[in-house]
Amino acid sequence: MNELSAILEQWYENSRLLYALVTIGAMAGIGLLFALLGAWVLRKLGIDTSRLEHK
Amino acid sequence: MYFPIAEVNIVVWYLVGIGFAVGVCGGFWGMGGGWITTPALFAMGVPMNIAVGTGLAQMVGQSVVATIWHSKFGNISTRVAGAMIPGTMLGVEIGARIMEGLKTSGQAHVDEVISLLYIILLGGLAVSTLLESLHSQRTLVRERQRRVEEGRAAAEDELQDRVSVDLAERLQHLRLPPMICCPLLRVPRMSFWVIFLAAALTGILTGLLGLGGGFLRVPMLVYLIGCPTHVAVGTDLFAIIISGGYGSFTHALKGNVDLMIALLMLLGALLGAQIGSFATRYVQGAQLRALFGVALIAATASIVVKSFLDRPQLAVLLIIGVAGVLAAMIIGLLIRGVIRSSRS
Repeated sequence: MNELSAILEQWYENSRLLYALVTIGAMAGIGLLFALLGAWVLRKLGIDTSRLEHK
Repeated sequence: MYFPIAEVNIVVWYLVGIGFAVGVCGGFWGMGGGWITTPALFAMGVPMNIAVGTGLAQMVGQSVVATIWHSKFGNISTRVAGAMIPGTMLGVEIGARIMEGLKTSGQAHVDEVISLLYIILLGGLAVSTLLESLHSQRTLVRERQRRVEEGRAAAEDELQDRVSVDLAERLQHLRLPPMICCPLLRVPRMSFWVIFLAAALTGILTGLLGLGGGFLRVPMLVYLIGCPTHVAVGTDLFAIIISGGYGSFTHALKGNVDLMIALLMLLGALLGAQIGSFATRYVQGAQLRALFGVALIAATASIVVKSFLDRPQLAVLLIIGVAGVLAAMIIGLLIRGVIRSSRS
Protein backbone atom coordinates (compact mmCIF):
# COMPACT_ATOMS: atom_id res chain seq x y z
CA MET A 1 0.00 0.00 0.00
CA ASN A 2 2.89 2.34 0.80
CA GLU A 3 4.44 1.54 -2.60
CA LEU A 4 1.20 2.50 -4.37
CA SER A 5 1.09 5.71 -2.34
CA ALA A 6 4.67 6.52 -3.42
CA ILE A 7 3.84 5.90 -7.11
CA LEU A 8 0.79 8.18 -6.90
CA GLU A 9 2.87 10.88 -5.22
CA GLN A 10 5.40 10.64 -8.06
CA TRP A 11 2.64 11.13 -10.67
CA TYR A 12 1.29 14.00 -8.57
CA GLU A 13 4.70 15.72 -8.64
CA ASN A 14 5.53 14.97 -12.31
CA SER A 15 2.30 15.65 -14.23
CA ARG A 16 -0.92 17.03 -12.79
CA LEU A 17 -2.83 16.28 -16.02
CA LEU A 18 -1.82 12.61 -15.84
CA TYR A 19 -2.70 12.57 -12.13
CA ALA A 20 -6.15 14.11 -12.83
CA LEU A 21 -6.82 11.61 -15.64
CA VAL A 22 -5.70 8.70 -13.44
CA THR A 23 -7.98 9.99 -10.64
CA ILE A 24 -11.08 10.08 -12.85
CA GLY A 25 -10.19 6.82 -14.62
CA ALA A 26 -9.49 4.96 -11.38
CA MET A 27 -12.66 6.13 -9.64
CA ALA A 28 -14.99 5.44 -12.60
CA GLY A 29 -13.21 2.18 -13.54
CA ILE A 30 -13.22 0.73 -10.03
CA GLY A 31 -16.86 1.76 -9.58
CA LEU A 32 -17.84 0.00 -12.80
CA LEU A 33 -15.83 -3.10 -11.91
CA PHE A 34 -17.44 -3.41 -8.46
CA ALA A 35 -20.96 -2.92 -9.86
CA LEU A 36 -20.37 -5.77 -12.33
CA LEU A 37 -18.82 -7.89 -9.57
CA GLY A 38 -21.83 -7.23 -7.31
CA ALA A 39 -24.25 -8.26 -10.07
CA TRP A 40 -22.22 -11.45 -10.70
CA VAL A 41 -22.24 -12.34 -6.97
CA LEU A 42 -26.04 -11.87 -6.80
CA ARG A 43 -26.49 -14.06 -9.89
CA LYS A 44 -24.30 -16.73 -8.29
CA LEU A 45 -26.43 -16.49 -5.13
CA GLY A 46 -29.51 -17.05 -7.29
CA ILE A 47 -31.03 -13.60 -6.73
CA ASP A 48 -32.54 -12.37 -10.01
CA THR A 49 -32.54 -8.57 -9.65
CA SER A 50 -34.61 -8.05 -12.81
CA ARG A 51 -37.66 -9.61 -11.14
CA LEU A 52 -37.54 -7.44 -8.02
CA GLU A 53 -40.37 -4.97 -7.60
CA HIS A 54 -40.91 -1.92 -5.41
CA LYS A 55 -42.49 -2.90 -2.13
CA MET B 1 -0.65 5.14 7.50
CA TYR B 2 1.08 8.29 6.20
CA PHE B 3 -0.47 10.07 3.19
CA PRO B 4 2.24 12.23 1.56
CA ILE B 5 -0.05 14.45 -0.56
CA ALA B 6 -2.33 15.44 2.33
CA GLU B 7 0.67 15.18 4.71
CA VAL B 8 -1.30 13.41 7.48
CA ASN B 9 -1.34 10.10 9.34
CA ILE B 10 -4.76 8.41 9.34
CA VAL B 11 -5.87 4.93 10.47
CA VAL B 12 -6.87 3.08 7.27
CA TRP B 13 -9.99 1.48 8.82
CA TYR B 14 -11.40 4.90 9.76
CA LEU B 15 -11.39 5.82 6.07
CA VAL B 16 -12.94 2.51 4.98
CA GLY B 17 -15.64 2.79 7.71
CA ILE B 18 -16.61 6.36 6.82
CA GLY B 19 -16.67 5.37 3.15
CA PHE B 20 -19.04 2.49 3.95
CA ALA B 21 -21.53 4.71 5.89
CA VAL B 22 -21.41 7.36 3.15
CA GLY B 23 -21.91 4.68 0.48
CA VAL B 24 -25.01 3.22 2.16
CA CYS B 25 -26.60 6.67 2.65
CA GLY B 26 -25.56 7.81 -0.86
CA GLY B 27 -26.94 4.75 -2.62
CA PHE B 28 -30.17 4.97 -0.64
CA TRP B 29 -30.93 8.69 -1.05
CA GLY B 30 -29.05 9.50 -4.24
CA MET B 31 -26.56 11.77 -2.52
CA GLY B 32 -22.81 12.04 -3.00
CA GLY B 33 -22.22 12.35 0.74
CA GLY B 34 -20.05 15.48 0.65
CA TRP B 35 -21.82 16.67 3.81
CA ILE B 36 -20.21 13.72 5.68
CA THR B 37 -16.86 13.15 3.94
CA THR B 38 -15.59 16.74 3.83
CA PRO B 39 -16.06 17.57 7.56
CA ALA B 40 -14.86 14.07 8.55
CA LEU B 41 -11.60 14.35 6.54
CA PHE B 42 -11.12 17.90 7.83
CA ALA B 43 -11.45 16.65 11.42
CA MET B 44 -8.77 14.00 10.74
CA GLY B 45 -6.29 16.71 9.84
CA VAL B 46 -6.66 16.80 6.03
CA PRO B 47 -6.45 20.41 4.73
CA MET B 48 -9.89 21.73 3.71
CA ASN B 49 -9.04 22.13 -0.01
CA ILE B 50 -7.80 18.50 -0.20
CA ALA B 51 -10.81 17.29 1.86
CA VAL B 52 -13.17 18.88 -0.69
CA GLY B 53 -11.30 17.54 -3.77
CA THR B 54 -10.79 14.04 -2.32
CA GLY B 55 -14.45 13.85 -1.24
CA LEU B 56 -15.55 14.73 -4.77
CA ALA B 57 -13.27 12.06 -6.32
CA GLN B 58 -14.63 9.38 -3.99
CA MET B 59 -18.16 10.59 -4.81
CA VAL B 60 -17.63 9.76 -8.52
CA GLY B 61 -16.69 6.11 -7.93
CA GLN B 62 -19.51 5.61 -5.45
CA SER B 63 -22.07 7.25 -7.76
CA VAL B 64 -21.00 5.02 -10.70
CA VAL B 65 -21.85 1.89 -8.67
CA ALA B 66 -25.15 3.27 -7.34
CA THR B 67 -26.15 4.60 -10.79
CA ILE B 68 -25.56 1.22 -12.46
CA TRP B 69 -27.79 -0.46 -9.86
CA HIS B 70 -30.51 2.17 -10.15
CA SER B 71 -30.27 1.84 -13.94
CA LYS B 72 -30.84 -1.95 -13.61
CA PHE B 73 -33.97 -1.22 -11.54
CA GLY B 74 -35.24 1.31 -14.12
CA ASN B 75 -34.84 4.22 -11.69
CA ILE B 76 -33.08 6.65 -14.05
CA SER B 77 -34.72 9.15 -16.37
CA THR B 78 -31.81 9.93 -18.73
CA ARG B 79 -33.90 12.61 -20.49
CA VAL B 80 -34.48 14.55 -17.27
CA ALA B 81 -30.82 14.04 -16.22
CA GLY B 82 -29.62 15.28 -19.64
CA ALA B 83 -31.95 18.29 -19.55
CA MET B 84 -30.59 19.19 -16.10
CA ILE B 85 -26.92 19.38 -17.20
CA PRO B 86 -26.91 22.89 -18.83
CA GLY B 87 -29.04 24.41 -16.05
CA THR B 88 -26.85 22.86 -13.34
CA MET B 89 -23.61 24.10 -14.98
CA LEU B 90 -24.98 27.64 -15.33
CA GLY B 91 -26.30 27.63 -11.76
CA VAL B 92 -23.03 26.34 -10.28
CA GLU B 93 -21.11 29.09 -12.08
CA ILE B 94 -23.53 31.79 -10.79
CA GLY B 95 -23.32 30.38 -7.24
CA ALA B 96 -19.49 30.34 -7.37
CA ARG B 97 -19.47 33.99 -8.51
CA ILE B 98 -21.84 35.02 -5.66
CA MET B 99 -19.34 33.33 -3.32
CA GLU B 100 -16.48 35.34 -4.86
CA GLY B 101 -18.55 38.51 -4.26
CA LEU B 102 -19.11 37.55 -0.60
CA LYS B 103 -15.36 36.96 -0.12
CA THR B 104 -14.67 40.68 -0.66
CA SER B 105 -16.36 41.40 2.71
CA GLY B 106 -14.03 38.99 4.57
CA GLN B 107 -13.88 35.30 5.51
CA ALA B 108 -15.89 35.78 8.75
CA HIS B 109 -18.76 37.30 6.76
CA VAL B 110 -18.66 34.40 4.27
CA ASP B 111 -18.79 31.81 7.11
CA GLU B 112 -21.69 33.61 8.78
CA VAL B 113 -23.79 33.99 5.61
CA ILE B 114 -23.15 30.45 4.36
CA SER B 115 -23.88 28.87 7.78
CA LEU B 116 -27.13 30.81 8.05
CA LEU B 117 -28.12 29.79 4.50
CA TYR B 118 -27.39 26.13 5.33
CA ILE B 119 -29.52 26.28 8.48
CA ILE B 120 -32.48 27.99 6.78
CA LEU B 121 -32.39 25.76 3.68
CA LEU B 122 -31.64 22.38 5.22
CA GLY B 123 -33.77 23.02 8.33
CA GLY B 124 -36.75 24.18 6.25
CA LEU B 125 -36.32 21.27 3.86
CA ALA B 126 -36.07 18.80 6.78
CA VAL B 127 -39.29 20.01 8.41
CA SER B 128 -41.26 20.13 5.13
CA THR B 129 -39.94 16.69 4.02
CA LEU B 130 -40.90 15.10 7.35
CA LEU B 131 -44.37 16.72 7.40
CA GLU B 132 -45.04 15.76 3.77
CA SER B 133 -43.81 12.22 4.38
CA LEU B 134 -46.13 11.77 7.41
CA HIS B 135 -49.06 13.23 5.45
CA SER B 136 -48.22 10.97 2.49
CA GLN B 137 -48.13 7.82 4.65
CA ARG B 138 -51.46 8.71 6.32
CA THR B 139 -53.09 9.37 2.93
CA LEU B 140 -51.73 6.05 1.66
CA VAL B 141 -53.26 4.16 4.61
CA ARG B 142 -56.65 5.93 4.18
CA GLU B 143 -56.68 5.26 0.42
CA ARG B 144 -55.80 1.59 0.98
CA GLN B 145 -58.63 1.22 3.55
CA ARG B 146 -61.10 2.93 1.21
CA ARG B 147 -60.23 0.54 -1.61
CA VAL B 148 -60.54 -2.48 0.69
CA GLU B 149 -63.99 -1.26 1.84
CA GLU B 150 -65.02 -0.81 -1.80
CA GLY B 151 -63.86 -4.38 -2.49
CA ARG B 152 -61.05 -3.33 -4.81
CA ALA B 153 -57.47 -4.54 -4.54
CA ALA B 154 -55.06 -1.80 -3.61
CA ALA B 155 -52.72 -1.33 -6.57
CA GLU B 156 -49.51 -0.26 -4.87
CA ASP B 157 -47.99 1.43 -7.91
CA GLU B 158 -51.06 3.65 -8.28
CA LEU B 159 -51.04 4.56 -4.62
CA GLN B 160 -47.34 5.39 -4.34
CA ASP B 161 -46.37 9.05 -4.28
CA ARG B 162 -49.76 10.29 -5.47
CA VAL B 163 -49.76 13.20 -3.07
CA SER B 164 -46.44 14.54 -4.34
CA VAL B 165 -47.37 15.43 -7.87
CA ASP B 166 -49.96 18.21 -7.55
CA LEU B 167 -47.46 21.00 -8.29
CA ALA B 168 -45.86 18.98 -11.09
CA GLU B 169 -49.27 18.47 -12.70
CA ARG B 170 -49.81 22.23 -12.67
CA LEU B 171 -46.40 22.74 -14.30
CA GLN B 172 -47.38 20.19 -16.95
CA HIS B 173 -49.81 22.78 -18.34
CA LEU B 174 -46.90 25.07 -19.21
CA ARG B 175 -46.62 24.55 -22.99
CA LEU B 176 -43.29 26.26 -23.60
CA PRO B 177 -41.32 24.32 -26.25
CA PRO B 178 -39.20 22.26 -26.43
CA MET B 179 -41.31 19.68 -24.60
CA ILE B 180 -39.66 16.57 -23.13
CA CYS B 181 -41.48 13.25 -23.00
CA CYS B 182 -40.59 11.30 -19.84
CA PRO B 183 -42.36 7.93 -19.69
CA LEU B 184 -40.82 7.17 -16.28
CA LEU B 185 -42.44 10.20 -14.66
CA ARG B 186 -46.00 10.56 -13.37
CA VAL B 187 -46.10 13.70 -15.52
CA PRO B 188 -45.35 12.36 -19.02
CA ARG B 189 -44.71 15.66 -20.88
CA MET B 190 -42.91 18.65 -19.45
CA SER B 191 -41.39 21.85 -20.79
CA PHE B 192 -37.57 21.73 -20.94
CA TRP B 193 -37.50 25.19 -19.33
CA VAL B 194 -39.15 23.96 -16.11
CA ILE B 195 -36.34 21.40 -15.69
CA PHE B 196 -33.70 23.93 -16.79
CA LEU B 197 -34.85 26.60 -14.29
CA ALA B 198 -35.21 24.09 -11.45
CA ALA B 199 -31.68 22.73 -12.21
CA ALA B 200 -30.26 26.27 -12.38
CA LEU B 201 -31.82 27.10 -9.00
CA THR B 202 -30.31 24.02 -7.33
CA GLY B 203 -27.05 24.70 -9.22
CA ILE B 204 -26.82 28.21 -7.68
CA LEU B 205 -27.28 26.77 -4.21
CA THR B 206 -24.77 23.97 -4.99
CA GLY B 207 -22.15 26.45 -6.24
CA LEU B 208 -22.71 28.68 -3.23
CA LEU B 209 -22.85 25.97 -0.55
CA GLY B 210 -20.29 23.58 -2.08
CA LEU B 211 -22.39 20.41 -1.85
CA GLY B 212 -22.85 17.66 -4.44
CA GLY B 213 -26.47 18.79 -4.70
CA GLY B 214 -28.37 15.63 -3.76
CA PHE B 215 -29.92 17.38 -0.74
CA LEU B 216 -31.59 19.83 -3.06
CA ARG B 217 -31.94 17.92 -6.33
CA VAL B 218 -33.86 14.92 -4.93
CA PRO B 219 -36.65 17.03 -3.31
CA MET B 220 -36.74 19.23 -6.43
CA LEU B 221 -37.17 16.20 -8.70
CA VAL B 222 -39.94 14.83 -6.45
CA TYR B 223 -41.91 17.99 -5.69
CA LEU B 224 -41.28 20.15 -8.77
CA ILE B 225 -40.66 17.77 -11.67
CA GLY B 226 -43.00 15.06 -10.35
CA CYS B 227 -40.53 12.14 -10.30
CA PRO B 228 -41.45 9.12 -8.18
CA THR B 229 -38.96 9.11 -5.26
CA HIS B 230 -36.98 6.10 -6.54
CA VAL B 231 -36.57 7.69 -10.00
CA ALA B 232 -35.50 10.98 -8.37
CA VAL B 233 -32.78 9.14 -6.43
CA GLY B 234 -31.44 7.33 -9.53
CA THR B 235 -31.59 10.42 -11.76
CA ASP B 236 -29.80 12.52 -9.14
CA LEU B 237 -26.98 9.95 -8.90
CA PHE B 238 -26.53 10.15 -12.67
CA ALA B 239 -26.29 13.96 -12.40
CA ILE B 240 -23.71 13.60 -9.59
CA ILE B 241 -21.39 11.59 -11.90
CA ILE B 242 -21.36 14.55 -14.32
CA SER B 243 -20.93 17.35 -11.75
CA GLY B 244 -18.65 15.30 -9.43
CA GLY B 245 -16.55 14.12 -12.39
CA TYR B 246 -15.93 17.67 -13.57
CA GLY B 247 -15.31 18.87 -10.00
CA SER B 248 -12.78 16.15 -9.11
CA PHE B 249 -10.90 16.55 -12.43
CA THR B 250 -10.44 20.29 -11.95
CA HIS B 251 -9.52 19.82 -8.25
CA ALA B 252 -6.97 17.12 -9.19
CA LEU B 253 -5.39 19.52 -11.71
CA LYS B 254 -5.04 22.07 -8.89
CA GLY B 255 -3.45 19.46 -6.59
CA ASN B 256 -6.46 19.18 -4.26
CA VAL B 257 -6.98 15.38 -4.46
CA ASP B 258 -5.20 12.69 -2.41
CA LEU B 259 -5.99 9.69 -4.58
CA MET B 260 -4.82 7.14 -1.96
CA ILE B 261 -7.32 8.48 0.62
CA ALA B 262 -10.05 8.52 -2.05
CA LEU B 263 -9.27 4.90 -3.03
CA LEU B 264 -9.45 3.67 0.58
CA MET B 265 -12.75 5.46 1.20
CA LEU B 266 -14.04 4.11 -2.10
CA LEU B 267 -13.39 0.51 -0.92
CA GLY B 268 -15.97 0.96 1.85
CA ALA B 269 -18.27 3.11 -0.27
CA LEU B 270 -18.46 0.52 -3.09
CA LEU B 271 -19.95 -2.10 -0.80
CA GLY B 272 -22.14 0.48 0.96
CA ALA B 273 -23.49 1.98 -2.28
CA GLN B 274 -24.64 -1.44 -3.53
CA ILE B 275 -26.40 -2.15 -0.22
CA GLY B 276 -28.01 1.32 -0.16
CA SER B 277 -29.21 1.12 -3.78
CA PHE B 278 -30.56 -2.40 -3.28
CA ALA B 279 -32.45 -1.29 -0.15
CA THR B 280 -34.54 1.21 -2.17
CA ARG B 281 -36.35 -1.80 -3.69
CA TYR B 282 -37.80 -2.74 -0.31
CA VAL B 283 -38.69 0.66 1.16
CA GLN B 284 -41.75 2.78 0.36
CA GLY B 285 -41.18 6.26 -1.10
CA ALA B 286 -42.73 7.99 1.93
CA GLN B 287 -40.51 6.02 4.36
CA LEU B 288 -37.49 6.86 2.21
CA ARG B 289 -38.34 10.59 2.47
CA ALA B 290 -38.92 10.38 6.24
CA LEU B 291 -35.39 8.98 6.77
CA PHE B 292 -34.07 11.66 4.42
CA GLY B 293 -35.72 14.28 6.69
CA VAL B 294 -33.84 12.83 9.68
CA ALA B 295 -30.54 13.07 7.74
CA LEU B 296 -31.29 16.72 6.93
CA ILE B 297 -31.98 17.52 10.61
CA ALA B 298 -28.62 15.94 11.55
CA ALA B 299 -26.80 18.00 8.90
CA THR B 300 -28.52 21.20 10.11
CA ALA B 301 -27.74 20.40 13.77
CA SER B 302 -24.04 19.79 12.98
CA ILE B 303 -23.79 23.23 11.33
CA VAL B 304 -25.49 24.90 14.32
CA VAL B 305 -23.07 23.12 16.69
CA LYS B 306 -20.03 24.02 14.59
CA SER B 307 -20.92 27.62 13.74
CA PHE B 308 -22.76 28.90 16.83
CA LEU B 309 -21.47 26.68 19.64
CA ASP B 310 -17.94 26.60 18.19
CA ARG B 311 -17.53 22.84 18.78
CA PRO B 312 -16.17 21.41 15.47
CA GLN B 313 -15.25 17.99 16.95
CA LEU B 314 -18.76 17.57 18.38
CA ALA B 315 -20.25 18.56 15.00
CA VAL B 316 -18.18 15.89 13.22
CA LEU B 317 -19.07 13.27 15.86
CA LEU B 318 -22.74 14.18 15.46
CA ILE B 319 -22.79 13.87 11.68
CA ILE B 320 -20.67 10.69 11.56
CA GLY B 321 -22.73 9.14 14.39
CA VAL B 322 -26.04 9.89 12.68
CA ALA B 323 -24.68 8.64 9.32
CA GLY B 324 -23.62 5.39 11.02
CA VAL B 325 -26.99 4.93 12.72
CA LEU B 326 -28.89 5.71 9.50
CA ALA B 327 -26.67 3.26 7.55
CA ALA B 328 -27.49 0.58 10.15
CA MET B 329 -31.23 1.39 9.87
CA ILE B 330 -31.11 1.13 6.06
CA ILE B 331 -29.36 -2.26 6.29
CA GLY B 332 -32.03 -3.33 8.83
CA LEU B 333 -34.83 -2.29 6.43
CA LEU B 334 -33.13 -4.22 3.62
CA ILE B 335 -32.82 -7.40 5.72
CA ARG B 336 -36.48 -7.10 6.84
CA GLY B 337 -37.57 -6.58 3.22
CA VAL B 338 -35.58 -9.58 1.95
CA ILE B 339 -37.01 -11.84 4.71
CA ARG B 340 -40.60 -10.69 4.01
CA SER B 341 -40.07 -11.09 0.28
CA SER B 342 -38.75 -14.65 0.63
CA ARG B 343 -41.74 -15.59 2.85
CA SER B 344 -44.39 -14.27 0.44
